Amino acid sequence: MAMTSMLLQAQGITKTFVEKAGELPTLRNVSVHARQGEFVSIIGPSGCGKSTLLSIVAGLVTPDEGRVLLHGNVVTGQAGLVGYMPQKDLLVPWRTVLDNVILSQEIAGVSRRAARAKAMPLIEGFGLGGFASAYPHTLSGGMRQRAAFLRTVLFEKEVLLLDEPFGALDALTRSTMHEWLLGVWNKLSKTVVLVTHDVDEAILLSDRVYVMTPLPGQVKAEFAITLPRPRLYDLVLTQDFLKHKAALLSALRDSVALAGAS
Amino acid sequence: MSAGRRVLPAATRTAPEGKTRRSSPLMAASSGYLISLLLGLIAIAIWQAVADFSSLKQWLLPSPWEVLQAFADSPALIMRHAAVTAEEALLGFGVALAIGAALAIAITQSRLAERALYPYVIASQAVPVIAIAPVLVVWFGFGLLPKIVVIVLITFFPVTINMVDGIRNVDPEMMGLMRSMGASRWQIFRLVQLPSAMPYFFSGAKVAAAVSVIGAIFGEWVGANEGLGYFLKYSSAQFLTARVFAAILVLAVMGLALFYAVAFVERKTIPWAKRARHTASQ
Ligand SMILES: Nc1ncnc2c1ncn2[C@@H]1O[C@H](COP(=O)(O)OP(=O)(O)OP(=O)(O)O)[C@@H](O)[C@H]1O
Ligand SMILES: [Mg+2]
Repeated sequence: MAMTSMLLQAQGITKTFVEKAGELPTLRNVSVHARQGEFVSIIGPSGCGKSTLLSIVAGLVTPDEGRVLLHGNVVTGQAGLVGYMPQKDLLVPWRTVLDNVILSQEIAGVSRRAARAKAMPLIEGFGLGGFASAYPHTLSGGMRQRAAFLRTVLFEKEVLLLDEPFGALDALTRSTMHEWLLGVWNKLSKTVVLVTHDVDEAILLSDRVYVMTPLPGQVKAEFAITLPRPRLYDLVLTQDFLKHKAALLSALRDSVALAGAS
Repeated sequence: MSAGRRVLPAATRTAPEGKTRRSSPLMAASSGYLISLLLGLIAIAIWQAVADFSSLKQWLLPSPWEVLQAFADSPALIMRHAAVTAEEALLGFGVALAIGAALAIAITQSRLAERALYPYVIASQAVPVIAIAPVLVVWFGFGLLPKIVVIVLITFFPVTINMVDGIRNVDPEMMGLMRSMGASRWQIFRLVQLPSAMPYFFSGAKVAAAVSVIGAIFGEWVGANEGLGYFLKYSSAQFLTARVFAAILVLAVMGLALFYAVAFVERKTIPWAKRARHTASQ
């Protein structure tokens, strides 16, 4: 039973980048997992290998050691099985917002017409109402991220890997996005692995949070966020939230200090 | 509600234009052309004055008026030769676009093709076309073919080089995103690499358009019995310098026309390139 609910696992992932300048041990024996319908965050200082871990889980980079399992099957190095939203929005300038978000549908062989018809009803819910036929450069940063997110959702996989989707946004827009994401996530019933270095974001959105160390990235701690759902943005002001925050922050600080000492 | 929201992108879109409108883009553009026209007129006036007051003979320095007369004397003759050259230039240009693009695609899609072809693509530009043109005539005769070969030889290069850069310039993360969505290599090429390379392709095509006319003249110079190159050659041999200048003017107009035709097609086929550049440079 525990095995069947374990949707996604990365086990003992180790990766060293070999450059002309020398070897860069980036990930060391990292294991993370997500159960069906779970929202998991990975938090760590900048440059600790979070994006590398996600691209390994997405099958875009092959690890030196370790494996990735989906539904208990080994899928290491296989791309195209999970939804992946990279750090940059990567909307293409020659397609309208609508045609950008249906890119994965088109790749899957769905006709443009059918894909558009499928995407159109979602446009409004993703805060892009009225912008379907606009070009990406006319969109605000927050809207671009939502378009990129909708593109990931329309790939229609159970797992979504999100790499700092709100990292480039200002604090105000980011908090609006958090509130919005809390709302849509309920309806989407997806399993999410979110990479971030924002503590509030991790606590507010997640069921579980992994804390990583600076390079080479290792998992130093794991927290269950026991705050009840549905959550609203006001939660960040509550005593419960602050307790979680204090624990997470001290774990983060310890992990950084640990790396500095070694 | 959706109508109210629609206001926003429109507003952001007009913002950069609004900035330039204060200095009136229409006036700026037309005053640019006005200056261009003025420069031309000044040059012609100086030319006319020098020709009138210097002791140089007409066959050494014909005045603009005499050039105009040379054209007016035999417009049908010049235009007949011009039509031949235009046909060669257009055909050669078309073939160069096709070959140039095909080479770029081969070079970027296959490591083997890159290693096998790229050195020759670059080495081809060291070939002194003037020197081998006579040989081409021996090989291919006096017809259209040697001219096309010369034009292609000197115009495919900017197309290929620019397009290779364009295809390679695609963000590696975009390639990763496409792979993560299960895209095949063909889909990545068709949906991402090719569209992103289009602005580069057109840059190369504009260079090729401007040069293709010269290519046609090269080809005709060494072996032809019609075309502006042939006309130029025998006119200059007879010291009909005014005619030479008249033919050169016609050539210049041809080059301009071809260049602007390509620019026009570019604006029609990839309107997004200009808009995106506009925002990127803000
Ligand atoms: N393809 C690569 N080749 C070589 N080194 C790489 C490659 N990708 C990442 N790295 C290096 O691995 C380290 C971790 O990078 P990564 O992007 O995974 O960190 P991150 O935690 O996502 O950082 P950030 O929070 O800034 O996004 C960095 O030092 C980076 O330079
Ligand atoms: Mg990153």
